[in-house]
Amino acid sequence: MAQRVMIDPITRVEGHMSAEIYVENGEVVDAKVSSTLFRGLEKIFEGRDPRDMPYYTQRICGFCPVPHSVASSAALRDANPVEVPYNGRKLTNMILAADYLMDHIRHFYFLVVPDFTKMPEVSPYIPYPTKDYRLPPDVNAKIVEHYLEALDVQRRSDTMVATFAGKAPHIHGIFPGGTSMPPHTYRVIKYRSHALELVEFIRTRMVPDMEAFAKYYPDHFEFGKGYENFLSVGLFQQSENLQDRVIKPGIMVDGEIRNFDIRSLREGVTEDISHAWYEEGPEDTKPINSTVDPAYGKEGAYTWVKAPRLNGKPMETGPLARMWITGDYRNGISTMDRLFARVVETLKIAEYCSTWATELKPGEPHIARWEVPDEGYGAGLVEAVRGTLGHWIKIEGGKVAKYQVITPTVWNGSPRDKNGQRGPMEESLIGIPVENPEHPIEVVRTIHSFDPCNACAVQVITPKGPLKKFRVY
Amino acid sequence: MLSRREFVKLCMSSTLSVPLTNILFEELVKAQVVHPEKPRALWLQAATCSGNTLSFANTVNPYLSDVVLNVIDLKYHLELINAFGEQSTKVIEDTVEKGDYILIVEGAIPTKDGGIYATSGERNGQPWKAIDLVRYAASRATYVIAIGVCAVSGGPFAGHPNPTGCVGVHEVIDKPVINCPGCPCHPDWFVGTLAHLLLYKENPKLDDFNRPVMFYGRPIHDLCDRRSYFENGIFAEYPGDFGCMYKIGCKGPITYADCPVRKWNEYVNWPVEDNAPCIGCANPGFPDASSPFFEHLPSIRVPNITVTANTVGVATAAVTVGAIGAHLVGNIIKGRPLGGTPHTPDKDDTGEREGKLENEERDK
Repeated sequence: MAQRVMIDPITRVEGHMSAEIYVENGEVVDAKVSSTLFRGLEKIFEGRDPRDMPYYTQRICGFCPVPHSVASSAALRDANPVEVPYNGRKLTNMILAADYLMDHIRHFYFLVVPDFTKMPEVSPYIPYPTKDYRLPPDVNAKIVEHYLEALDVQRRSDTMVATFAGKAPHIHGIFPGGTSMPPHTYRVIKYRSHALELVEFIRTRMVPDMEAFAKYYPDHFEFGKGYENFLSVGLFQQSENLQDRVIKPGIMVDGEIRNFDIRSLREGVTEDISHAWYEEGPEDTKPINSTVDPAYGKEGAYTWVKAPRLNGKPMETGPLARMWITGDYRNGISTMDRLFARVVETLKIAEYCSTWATELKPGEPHIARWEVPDEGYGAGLVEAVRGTLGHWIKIEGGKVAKYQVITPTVWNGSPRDKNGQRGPMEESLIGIPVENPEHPIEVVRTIHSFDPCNACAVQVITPKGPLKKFRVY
Repeated sequence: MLSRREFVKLCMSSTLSVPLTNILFEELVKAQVVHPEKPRALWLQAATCSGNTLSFANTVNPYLSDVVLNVIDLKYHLELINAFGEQSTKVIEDTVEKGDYILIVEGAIPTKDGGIYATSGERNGQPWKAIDLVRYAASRATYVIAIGVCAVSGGPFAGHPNPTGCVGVHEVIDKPVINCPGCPCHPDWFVGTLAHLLLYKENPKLDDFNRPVMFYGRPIHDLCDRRSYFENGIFAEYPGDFGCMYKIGCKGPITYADCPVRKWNEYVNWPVEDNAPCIGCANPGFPDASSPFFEHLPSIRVPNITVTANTVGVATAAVTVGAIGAHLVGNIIKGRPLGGTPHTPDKDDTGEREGKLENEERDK
């Protein structure tokens, strides 16, 4: 008989989350991951001015406001095409790249390091959740020192974001037609000097720290595998061509890498709600028209996250998926590999930041004017820090008629679908050896390796019935 | 130690080439010599995006490591605490049991359907709802700080039609709440307020929305370094243009905050300097009272204020000034900046609130 263990709340994740696991003979045999926060943002978006969306959608998540802003701007641009000037595209990528650094460095030090390192004996690091700290004292002391350093260095990346985007988090400045801040030389120099500082920090702190974890916790390469299905829509678009991205898009299905045309996601992704707290609505072929209402306590359901599937398959998304598809990291698929790929990506992107800063063209245009169309439909697909992010918008009468968002954690943290397939995160927990079922640190470490973001995962709701007329401001 | 007056003066200083907090940290260290035991703090999250935590992480002088490890004894923060599951919720219970702590709440409180839309952990075998958690934690707190516009008044998740019935913290507890709005809250606004509590053991001077006057005392429009463009009628026509942002929706005239002089993220930039309008995120009415973000002020429906000026482009600058003036008059008559539900707790709670918003403290 399997032992049921409830981990609620899971801490050091964004948002409210819990996990229910079943342990038999020291191994996890079943798992349900649940998100316990619901805000209904997509309903709030309806009836608003489409121009507000690149700002309002950032409020979905304070960790990754920039990807939401970029995706939303791309969706608006898709609905009413406009050519983005060279500088606008470059600056958008630079702001997005700086946001990646912020997110990855914070995730690694704030959320992951305490999993493997014995932290000082002060709040909020006590009480310790486990005795399984294996680093030798001198290595441990060094990583704690780096952690304290990181607490202060991490803000540099947000400063890089704000240099071109007003403030961070929740930026101003990214628009469908480009960026509002021109590439002023003194700002470019400021941005680049911070980028170089971070490259140095990542090389001399983050990478060695990651290598230490890999060395002293080798068994963490053995579990946390999940499905061999990866999805990436690519990152840092370079031209009008959607496919033309610095980090290439692609998918892997059952271990086999395939080319992927990201325009195939333009019509949206169907989401299964058989195990999510939503009422079943009438079927519709277009996902943007799917109609669901919250139904807390629905039988068999256990989360606010829906289950998106690509051709019926649950897809894992995030740094490991991206780095695997580009070929930058192919050591394996496991808890430790997921963390390692994130560090590899962080260094890569920090180097991009310092290079791109030299490629701007001061004095040339940085923004094109975009007008709200009367009617329109658009999709914005971008890799957010944690994985694939899609925004879909339908505009009617110059207002938002429908807005749909599918975030990385919806892909990764999805529940079972009607065929009983677990979500990628749930699947990765199966088979994890658990030493102490009362404190399953191995499970928590694996969940952390996905960097779940529950604020992002749950804002999904569209109203039932015909479109309502909302207040026009 | 700095006198209270000197401290407030420092916080309001408009020549912030040197961050106010340079001196602040030294003062806090001194204060701890007097009070060797670090004050306990609980940081709870309800319906939030964590943006205020991340903004707080951008604090400079004192840096994050100083605040978290040297200034306060941060017992619980979902994203920093080491423990998980029951072990972590027990930390909350133990801290509340002991009493005498500062409660910091981030995020709106969902109230619809009994508040089931945000839960964290379990208590008595039931999901622990944010509304119950915050009420429980507030019961024995010495001070309650609401950080970010969500915790102040519901914020973006309370946007029309407010599907989960989100409200601010002050609406669900019966204690005075110090409101530090903003989306997110500027780290200085929060750290400065916290420092005031620690140094002087009493609330900073608050306005009618319970916002610290030293940070939220004057409208952005009055402090804006593009004010001369406004006076001269040089307006941006689209984000990215240089000039005054008024015509493309700047909410500076009705937003009380010191962004133009303080600036954000190591004091490097702020929205208007970025050639984009202010969206009024420090207003308790944010976002509905500010949206559409890119429409200029008079076309926004502001309850109970009858300003009818509707076109700025054709008018001369003088007419524009008149329109704004009428706006501010409307606000001042009502005794509050804009929108939302004002919080007017008993005067006894905070002592010396006479309802005079600005100037007084600064002029001393």
